[in-house]
Amino acid sequence: MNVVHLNNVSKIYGKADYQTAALKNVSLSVAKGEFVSIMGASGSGKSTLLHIIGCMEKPTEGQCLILEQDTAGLSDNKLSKIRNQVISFIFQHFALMHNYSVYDNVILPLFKRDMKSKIMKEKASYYLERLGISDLMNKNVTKLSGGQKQRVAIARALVAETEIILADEPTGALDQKNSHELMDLLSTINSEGKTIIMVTHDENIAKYTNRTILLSDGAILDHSM
Amino acid sequence: MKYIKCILNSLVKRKLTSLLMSIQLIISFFVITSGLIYFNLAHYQVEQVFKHALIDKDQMATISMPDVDTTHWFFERYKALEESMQHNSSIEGVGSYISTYLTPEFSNESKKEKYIKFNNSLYSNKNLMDRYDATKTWYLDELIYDLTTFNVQKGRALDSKDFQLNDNSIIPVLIGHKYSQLFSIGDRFKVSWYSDEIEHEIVGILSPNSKWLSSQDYLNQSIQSLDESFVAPFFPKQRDGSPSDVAVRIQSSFIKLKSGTDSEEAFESIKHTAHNLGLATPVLRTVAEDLERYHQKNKSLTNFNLFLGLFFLFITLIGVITITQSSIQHRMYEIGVRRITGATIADIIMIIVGEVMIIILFSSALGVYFRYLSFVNSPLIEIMPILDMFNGSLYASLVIIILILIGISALLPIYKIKKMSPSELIGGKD
Repeated sequence: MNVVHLNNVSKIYGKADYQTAALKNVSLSVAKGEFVSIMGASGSGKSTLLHIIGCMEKPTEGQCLILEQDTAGLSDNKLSKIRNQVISFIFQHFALMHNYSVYDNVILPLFKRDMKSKIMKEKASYYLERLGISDLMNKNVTKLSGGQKQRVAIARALVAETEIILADEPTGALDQKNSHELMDLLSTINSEGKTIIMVTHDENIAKYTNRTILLSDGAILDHSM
Repeated sequence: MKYIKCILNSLVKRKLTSLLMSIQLIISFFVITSGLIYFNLAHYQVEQVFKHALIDKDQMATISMPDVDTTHWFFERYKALEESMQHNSSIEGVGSYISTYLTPEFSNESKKEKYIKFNNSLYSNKNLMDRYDATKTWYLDELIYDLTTFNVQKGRALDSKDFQLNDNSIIPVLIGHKYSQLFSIGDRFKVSWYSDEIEHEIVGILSPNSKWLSSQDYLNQSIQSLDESFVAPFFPKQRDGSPSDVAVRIQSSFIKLKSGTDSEEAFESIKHTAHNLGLATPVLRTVAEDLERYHQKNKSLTNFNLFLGLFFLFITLIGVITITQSSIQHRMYEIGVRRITGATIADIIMIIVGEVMIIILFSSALGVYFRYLSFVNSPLIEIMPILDMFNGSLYASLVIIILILIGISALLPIYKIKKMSPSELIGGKD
């Protein structure tokens, strides 16, 4: 079963004479449980592709199906629901709320769920424990190292218990040791059944994935296994 | 509930911004409340006068003497002028009232002690300069008594014969309803008047919330509560006993013109008599003319307060919009993070509006409360019905202002956020 299916997706930024095509007729499918990397040079459109899959942006043309549902005509509420219940994100610069605690950041996706604070706390504790940062629960995220921040971002992605995890250059702000630890972690998460789509420009990082999609100038060059 | 927790959390995180915004709003609402109060005060004051006094604006007139003094010369001539007014064919009657502090003397010492003790509790928090042995008493003429709207709850009201007293009469007294706990109908006390002792007898108890006009200035000063006062007819020695008694009551004297009388003609006749008596020309005005002058006099003050209130409202609006804008701009990334984890635009609007609403509601409540406290501790409340102005109409106006503030200050950030995709909101960093 394909959890993500893109059919001739194009994305054009700007208006009239200043238009830029970030994606050109991109078609791809990602099956449930896959670990896919999207590679390409800077400006090749890989982040745009990830944002369209993540319902953060709408394609100018084409279809984007998430769990077989076309996201093109969906309202903000429905797209938000997909971002909350189907897709989680991990970003290069972590996308954490500054000046909030680790706990506040981790439970953010649970804000939209009717969940008692006791259960929220249990869930957050479980994933923070699993990622080895349970002692940081009440610490302000601004006081954490890059590696710790990325683990908080992963804990937030896991606590949402979504089908798909999208990672945009997740090792981009980490040193080599932390990068490999993080990739080991993502591999483990993938082995537990999560579908992961990751954008990277690092071939060594892409090796952790089952499939690499090569993007150049907004178009797919190659799907390699 | 989840929004409230989120909003409070966010406000605490930005405590300095929230505090600065609150301080600005507290000051603004302090001034805006003043503006609204003074804007409505003159109208309210006039409304109260006509609610508690059966005054016909065209039939009733006031008189004031420019050369009033406490000499026998003036006293005798003014008495003659008053006498001539009583017999003037265009005038139905002339009447005055005064308020004074009456110190009753009781035959029983324990009664006196009870009275002082009672006044002690009655006058707490009131600026009466420790006059616990006295009660504010209104003495009035029959013409004035007929203008009152208060009722007698127990006992009897005053009637015509009560206003035809001689030097040996017992003075009938109506007591304010709060004194009903201390006195009964038929109770008597004496009041020293120079070398005489005048016997008073309680004949009736006034209904609660009985009120009458100020004896200082019936239009500019507060309507007075009679709940803690006595009301009695003038007794002769007091009304016309000395030049100073007359000088005092002139400032609260009314003339009632006969129905259909041309006031100008009646006034000319009075002025002519005054001239013949050697008095300066009296100032005579119908109540309608008094009202016109009162509104003219208050117009500039009202306009100034309205301008001040609107100015502060404008300044507040700019301040709140600026702070909200800058706060939201500063938090675009945070909002973006919320959006990518599933928050809808409606959730973000709820959070923004909620934050603005809590700060504005909290600050406006404090601003209004501080304004109230400052009035309570001000001598102004003795002469102006300012505390009465803290009413439904004021709160309704404030609610409208608050809603406008919340609406306008939240509108711009909401418009901006609505236009941006989640990736744009966190853009530049990720």
